[in-house]
Amino acid sequence: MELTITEHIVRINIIAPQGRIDAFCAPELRKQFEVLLGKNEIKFILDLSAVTFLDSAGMAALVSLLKAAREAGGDVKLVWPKEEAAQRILRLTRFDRVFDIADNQKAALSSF
Amino acid sequence: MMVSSKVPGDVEQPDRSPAERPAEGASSRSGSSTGCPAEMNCYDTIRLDLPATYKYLNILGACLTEMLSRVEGLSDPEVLAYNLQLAVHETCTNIINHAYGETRPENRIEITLKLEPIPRSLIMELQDTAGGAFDLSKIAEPNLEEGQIHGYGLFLIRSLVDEVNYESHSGKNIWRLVKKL
Repeated sequence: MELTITEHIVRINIIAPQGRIDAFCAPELRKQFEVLLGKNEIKFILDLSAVTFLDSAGMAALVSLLKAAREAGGDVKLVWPKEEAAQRILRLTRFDRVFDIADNQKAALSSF
Repeated sequence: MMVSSKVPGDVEQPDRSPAERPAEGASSRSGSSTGCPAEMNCYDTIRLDLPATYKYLNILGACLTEMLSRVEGLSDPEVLAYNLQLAVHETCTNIINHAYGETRPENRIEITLKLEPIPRSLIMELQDTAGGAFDLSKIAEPNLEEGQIHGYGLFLIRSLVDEVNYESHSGKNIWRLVKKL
């Protein structure tokens, strides 16, 4: 019997910002995204569990990463923020339909 | 940044109508002359004068949250504080991005946070001196079925407060957000 064994490694970047993602901080986050995208990284988990405040500029940063990743054949999964009010805003803006949002990193990893 | 804080007892109240003043000799905390809840102190106003940059918007949110922490009997106060923080934050970023459009040291945003007793509500007024005007009705709603890079700001403001009014005159843009408490 002949066996061919190949190894397939899927590389997933886990990004876990803490604190506020707002108009002041979002440009720095976008810059980080661009660095990773520039290295041909296309699969991401954005762990928002430690994010305490997310504004529209922060949301735009997440969507820009999602669009770039999907265009390159990848995807972005989110982990829910622990902050209940932030969860409600993500539901209000229907981010829970645009993104897959998992309860924790492990669940997000298994959703790829 | 200049910050001025005004609370009853140590401030002038130039815009206070006679009907809103407590009767002479009456305690301003009792609310007996206006029927306002005692814990609200009838006329609580905080004024902030912030530079029109993103850098210090966290101060506005913290101020609003602390102000609400003094109001008793709120249902879900943490979510309320977060939502109102987001609404005023989005209004400020709108002013910075669209009214001023550029960062200059003289560009300011004057913010007044006012607790009104009847109906119990928080009034948030934001004023800039950028001139110009824009038509709120012409701002398109975001397509929520697809992720958007732009367009969530006004949607969030409208969704998180009970009233949004905007007017422009004498070179000033004035936003008035009202949330019933």
